[in-house]
Amino acid sequence: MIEFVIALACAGSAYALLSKDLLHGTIALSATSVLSALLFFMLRAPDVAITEAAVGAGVSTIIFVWAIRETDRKDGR
Amino acid sequence: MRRADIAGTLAGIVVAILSCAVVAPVLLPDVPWPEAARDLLAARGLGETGASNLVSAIYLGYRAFDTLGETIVLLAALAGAVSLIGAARDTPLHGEEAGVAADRGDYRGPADKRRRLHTEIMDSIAGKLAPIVLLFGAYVMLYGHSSPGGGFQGGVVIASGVIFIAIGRRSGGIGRIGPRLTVFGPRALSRMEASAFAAIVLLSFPVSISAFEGLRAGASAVGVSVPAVSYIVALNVSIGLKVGSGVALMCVMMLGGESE
Repeated sequence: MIEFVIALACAGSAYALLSKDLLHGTIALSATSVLSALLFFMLRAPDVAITEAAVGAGVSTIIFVWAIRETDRKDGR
Repeated sequence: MRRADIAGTLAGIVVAILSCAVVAPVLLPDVPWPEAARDLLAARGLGETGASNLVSAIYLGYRAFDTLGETIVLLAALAGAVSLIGAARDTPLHGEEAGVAADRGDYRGPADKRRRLHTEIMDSIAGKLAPIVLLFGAYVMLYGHSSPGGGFQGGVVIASGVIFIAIGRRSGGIGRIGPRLTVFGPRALSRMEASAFAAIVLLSFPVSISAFEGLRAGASAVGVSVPAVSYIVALNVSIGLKVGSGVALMCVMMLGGESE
């Protein structure tokens, strides 16, 4: 089960790195954060899991989405 | 292969070797782990602080200065972000940059940046979800000594609640909290952050711990019993208010709520 969650988190972060649409990348990063929170909870660190869910999936997603809205949605390379 | 590619590959190899060197002591455990501090904290942490969550007991009961340092780092980061946001709002694009942006057709004036979000989800959910999120944040913050959570976690959850309030206000939907209530405005949030930070600094010093012990002794002489854990609760509450108001201040300014 832990290996499965780690594989999903790796897939999500790889998609976030490679995606040309920054909004999709941000959503993938948020999903990766939720998976890491689940992983922390399974490894019996609920304090860290709450932090990861609140910061990684909540506040940082809001900041990224705001930055994308203020600049450009496509990766310009 | 271009020179930049070669340089990038070399840099990548160097970074990989350095990271292996950093992780090596963990992977090759010849030296046994230091156990004295761990065993001491595991044996005495809960009894001395009165908390039942060992994580909170250690990072607030024994490591309050480290926690103070973390909040200072967070304060510096937030101050930088807030000043950048303020500068970006004050000076619109001008000169060459504005010309390039206008050529690309994606320059939007300041008025357009403040356009109202109108979606059904925002209208119907944001304002109503906020009190529940705030309540959960307060629970995580206040019960950090006995259950998973604490000041940082509860503070970020509280910040999410304040962000919901800001989004609900912008959308102008039903059930939003009126703009006349300025408790969730930037001015009140920054004041709250400053006073909570002052409270953390005061609480971290050894003098305040001995003062707290004196207060406990005096209270028990009168007949009122103050539990030892209330020191950790006080630290959790001030950290939660500091983190919550700071993160919420940054996000509310980002959303353009400083005009309210």
